[in-house]
Amino acid sequence: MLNYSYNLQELILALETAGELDLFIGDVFRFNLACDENYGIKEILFDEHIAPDSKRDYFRKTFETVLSAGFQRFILQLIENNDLHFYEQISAKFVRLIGQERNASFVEALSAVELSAAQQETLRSEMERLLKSKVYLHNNVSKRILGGLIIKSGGKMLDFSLQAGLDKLKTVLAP
Amino acid sequence: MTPAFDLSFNPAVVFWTLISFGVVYYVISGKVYPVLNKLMSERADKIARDLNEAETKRRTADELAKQAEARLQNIRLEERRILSEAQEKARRSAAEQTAEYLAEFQRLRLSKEDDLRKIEADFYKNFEAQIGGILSAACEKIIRCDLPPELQQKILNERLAELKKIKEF
Repeated sequence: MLNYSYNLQELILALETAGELDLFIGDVFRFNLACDENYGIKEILFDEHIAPDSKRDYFRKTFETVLSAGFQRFILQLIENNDLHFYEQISAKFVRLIGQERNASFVEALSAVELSAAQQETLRSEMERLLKSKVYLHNNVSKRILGGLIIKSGGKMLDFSLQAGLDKLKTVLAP
Repeated sequence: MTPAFDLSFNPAVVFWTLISFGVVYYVISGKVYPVLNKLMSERADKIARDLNEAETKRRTADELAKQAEARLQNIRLEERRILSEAQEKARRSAAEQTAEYLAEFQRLRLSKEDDLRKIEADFYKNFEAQIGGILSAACEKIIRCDLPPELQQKILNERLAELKKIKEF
């Protein structure tokens, strides 16, 4: 159960005022990716039995240079309130709320190398065509992807990675 | 010359001879002959009875021998029948046993053939899985090592071109 209630609308307004909203959303995707790709982050930060001070120190040490100050404050606040294990629901609701506010969709593109501006533009336009709404694209580089890209939006995913091809190959070779 | 060879007639000798003959005749016919006759009759009767008895016993013995022969014949027939039945029973039993063994053998053979087929299928499945895993790992290793940036860009462009063909997310 949540220890505190969080007014996400106010958070959006404050971030918009500070001009950090896009950066904050990008950090949400970056943090999620770091949690998925590394062992230890989720295991330490989301463990209710670990003291908030230890979590705070670990978070600062790990993400100080990677994430924006605004997102760091947000996470530190959740740690202090002992509500970090609700992060996934809170962040998902936050992204959904912004999408509703702006009548837009947030698309995360995971790739082996950073997409060029032209590629990002192509991807954005194609996703706008498919989602029939304005698209905010966030490109993150993932070590898991050998080549190609994975596109995620609102719980859906398009896998254009080489890994998917390899998985298909593996399925064909070893059913 | 002695009187015996004296061929001259002597009435005294004749007289005494006749008297002697009469006396002997009387004694023999009156005293000896009936006794001897009785003895002879009894002896004849006994012999006749013994002969009858012997005949009866012979007939009885013959009858018993016939009965024994008939019984022996029956015993031999019974023996042959029992032997034949036993042989038939043994043959049937052996045939049934053989059929059972053959059926059991056939069942075991089919079961073993099934097992062998499963083992073979498992072997090939595992073999394919292992080969698939090795090939996949090898591909992954090659891709991870030898994918230059320009190839990465080419793959990305190809994937974006594929994205353009998609009609629905």
